[in-house]
Amino acid sequence: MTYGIAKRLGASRLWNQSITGRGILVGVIGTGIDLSHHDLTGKVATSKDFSTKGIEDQIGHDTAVAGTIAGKGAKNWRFRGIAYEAQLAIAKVTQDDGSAEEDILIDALEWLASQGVQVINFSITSDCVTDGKDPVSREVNYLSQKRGIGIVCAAGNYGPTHYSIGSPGAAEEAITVGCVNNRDVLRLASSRGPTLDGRVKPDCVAPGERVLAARAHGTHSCDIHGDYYGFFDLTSFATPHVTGIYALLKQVFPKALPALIKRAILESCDKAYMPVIAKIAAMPTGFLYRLKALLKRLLARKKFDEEYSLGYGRVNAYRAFLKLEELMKNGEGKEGA
Amino acid sequence: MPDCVYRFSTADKSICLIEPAHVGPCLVKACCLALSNHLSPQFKPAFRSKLKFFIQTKDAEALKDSQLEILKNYPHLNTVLVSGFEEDVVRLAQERGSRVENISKAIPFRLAVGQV
Repeated sequence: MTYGIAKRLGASRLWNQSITGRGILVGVIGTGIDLSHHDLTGKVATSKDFSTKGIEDQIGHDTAVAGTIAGKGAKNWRFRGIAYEAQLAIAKVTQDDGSAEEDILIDALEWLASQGVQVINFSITSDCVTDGKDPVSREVNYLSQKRGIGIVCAAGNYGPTHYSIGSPGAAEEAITVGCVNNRDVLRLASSRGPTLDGRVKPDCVAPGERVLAARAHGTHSCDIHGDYYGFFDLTSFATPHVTGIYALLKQVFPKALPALIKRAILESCDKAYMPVIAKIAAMPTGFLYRLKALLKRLLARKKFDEEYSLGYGRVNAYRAFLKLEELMKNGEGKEGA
Repeated sequence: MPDCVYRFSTADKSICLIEPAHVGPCLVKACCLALSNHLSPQFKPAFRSKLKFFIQTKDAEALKDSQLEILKNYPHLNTVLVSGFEEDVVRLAQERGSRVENISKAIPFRLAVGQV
């Protein structure tokens, strides 16, 4: 991740106050990790391979995710992750084709919880839409409500049609993240709500266009930038920005419950925008019908589109910090234990 | 969205096939395909091998003596993972539906990357 994004999201202002994710253990479920990457050496506190393929990242997906969350920026501080002093717990769940089985995901979530993670990044989605009552979504709700673990999920890349949120993004307790470009305009592919049972998802959006992140050795699943980095796109790489922000907030307010941190992140979002082309693309076919429907939608359904595509808007770490501080001062959401 | 989700409805004791492509306009109800008496021919040929299903039930006896093989148990979710033929799951829903809260076919997950 570049310093530019950290500045845009307000994370650099928290860094200036020594809020860097120190003491926070972040779980990452995905393709494994390149342990030799200079931004990630010494960052992995624990790891487990559920895929039987070895913990090494053969695809490159979650090395980039991990770097965006907690990369050290060892050779260039501008490439630091959002919570660059956080530690990582890695659960590898995917096969060589990037697929993962539902029961393995539940096992991995349980294992991460047993390792004491405070937040989990979940940049994997189901192939199909759900109502949030599928087993993985229910596991996410369980971990958040009963174990106090924040779970940040990618919305998926099945946009621009509505009702395209899969599991576990559809889970009620998850912080579900869509993606915007570098001008805070929603990307066409970002999945949209509502969920099958009519709830608002995604909850928020984060940068998901040409995110510069750590590249696993020997992988080419990105636009390569030098020997160790690459540019990555869409909701998988928007999600770790929010996971990093969650880790920063958890460092300052260790007793804050996931629901309260989620509320602070969402209620402090900046404005994000809908692209006109996305509105047209989401219309039924037929030019006149599209035109008529577009006008109708622009006038009457603007709110529907925005709410079910952008959630509360684009995340802002600094404003989330201020919001959470305010909520905590009001005595809301403290852990009983 | 290449796949679909099975849902068991306790309300009408039917198994539903939720077609993602139809979900937007008509939501769940119109896309439910009740399988009250027999399997729908439209997906019989496609599912002849054993599949994995998650069965949510608070009744530990609900699966006793069924044709389904229990693979894993998730007590905190009141859920068991089973392996079996589709018709065995339908039979379970028909015969012991009142003891089951939810049935869903195990669905594939993929990395959230795609066309840029």
